[in-house]
Amino acid sequence: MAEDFKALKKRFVDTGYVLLENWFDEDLVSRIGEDSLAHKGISVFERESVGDLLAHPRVADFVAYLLESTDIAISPFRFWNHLTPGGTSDGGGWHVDDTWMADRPLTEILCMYYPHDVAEDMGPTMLLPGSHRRLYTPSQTRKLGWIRGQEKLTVGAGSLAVAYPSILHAKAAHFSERPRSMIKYGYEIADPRYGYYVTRETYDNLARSKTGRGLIRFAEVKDKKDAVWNSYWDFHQSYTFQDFKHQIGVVGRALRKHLEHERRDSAP
Amino acid sequence: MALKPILKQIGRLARPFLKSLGKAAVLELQREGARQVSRKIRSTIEKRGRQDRIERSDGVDARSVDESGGKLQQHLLYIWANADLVTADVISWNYFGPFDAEYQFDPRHECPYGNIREAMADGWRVVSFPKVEYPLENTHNQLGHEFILERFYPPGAGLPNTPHGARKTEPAQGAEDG
Repeated sequence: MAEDFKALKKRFVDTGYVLLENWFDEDLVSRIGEDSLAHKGISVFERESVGDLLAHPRVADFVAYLLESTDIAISPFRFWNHLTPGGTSDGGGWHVDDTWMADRPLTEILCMYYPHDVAEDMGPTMLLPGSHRRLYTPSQTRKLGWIRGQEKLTVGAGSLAVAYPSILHAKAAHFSERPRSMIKYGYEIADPRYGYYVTRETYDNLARSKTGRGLIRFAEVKDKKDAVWNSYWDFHQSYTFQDFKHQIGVVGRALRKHLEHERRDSAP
Repeated sequence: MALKPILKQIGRLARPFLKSLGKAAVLELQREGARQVSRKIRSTIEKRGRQDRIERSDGVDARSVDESGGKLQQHLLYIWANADLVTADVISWNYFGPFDAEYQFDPRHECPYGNIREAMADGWRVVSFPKVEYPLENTHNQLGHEFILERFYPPGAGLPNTPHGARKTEPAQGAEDG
C-alpha cells in the first residue's frame, strides 16, 4: 500500500491533484448518491453515508501520508454539497481556495467527491495541473478564461479528487438536464490552536467511528448558521482580510484564529 | 489741441529713419510677418486634424462611429502569452465587450488567434503591454504575459464566442434605446 501511496503522492505533488477511482464499495457510493440529491449545503455532512466517506480509513491513511503527519483532522474547507439542477448555466470563474506559500509546508488537503457520473456536459470541475505552486490574487484569477492545459474532471460515480487547496479550479457550464452534485470538504494536520465549527448532528455522525472521533477532536459544536459562516467567512473590516480570510491553509487558518482571538479579547 | 497735426509731425520725423533701413530690411520684416501667419495657420490646421480624428464637431468620439456614422462599440481581448512577444503562444484568453455569454465558462472555446500578431493582423490594436517583471516574479505570480487588445465593432458584430460560451443575442438597437 505504501508503494501505491508513493506513486500517487508523486503525481499529487507534480500536478496538484490526484483522482482516486474505485476506492469505495458500491453500497457506500449508492448511499451517498441518494443523500447527495436530497441534502444540499452542509446538511449532507449530517448523513451517515457522508460521515463514512469522511472517516474512510484508507482515505484517512492516504491524507496522513500526503500531509506527512499521523494526526489529521477535518478542516472547515467550504464543507458543502454543491448540488445544481441541470439545464442551468452555472459555471464559475477560475479561483484558488488557498494561497500558495512557497516557504511553508502543506498543511491542508482539498477533497472533491462526485456521487454520480459527471459527463462533459454536466458542469465538470476544471483544474489546471501544475497551477498549485503559484501565488494568485482573486483579481488575477477572476479574469481568466480558457487556459491551455486545463483539464475537465469527467469522472465515474464515487470518484474522489484530492488536491492542493492552491490549485486553480473552476466549474464548467452545465448543459445537461441531469443534476450534478459535488461534495467538497478537507483535511488538515490536527492542531489544537486551530479549531473549527460543526453542527451537533455532524459531530455525532463522525463520532461513530474511531477515525471519525480523531477527525473531530478539536471541533466545536455550533448551530448551523455559525458552522457555515463563522468558522471561515466571517466579516472583517480590513480589505486584505476580505480578500484572503475565506482561504484556509497556512494563511487562512492563522488568520481565522487571529480573528477569533481578536473578538474574544475585545469582548467586555 | 488737435491730434492730426501732431501725427503729421511724427511721420515727418520718422521718414528719414525708415529710409535709412533700406528696402531689403522692410521686405524682411514683411516676410517674417508672413512666416508667422503661415505657422499659425499650419498649427491650427494640424490641431483641427487631430481633433477631427478623435472628436467630431458634435463631441462624439470618432472611434465609436463607422464611416456612415453608425455606432461602434469597444471590445477587449485579453491574451496571456508565454513570453513578452507578439509572436509568443497563447496560454490563456478572455473576451469582454457589451455582451453576455450564453453559458458561463464553456471550456471548448479556444482562442481564435495563435498569438498576438495574428490578432493584430485581424484588426486588433494592442492597448496594454505586459508590465516589466523582476526576474522570477512572473514565475510565481501570474499565468503569463498579459496583453490587452481593443477593436471597435458595430452592435452584434465581433468574435462569435467567448471562453464562457456563445455570445447571447443582443437586444435590438431600438429596444436598447427605449
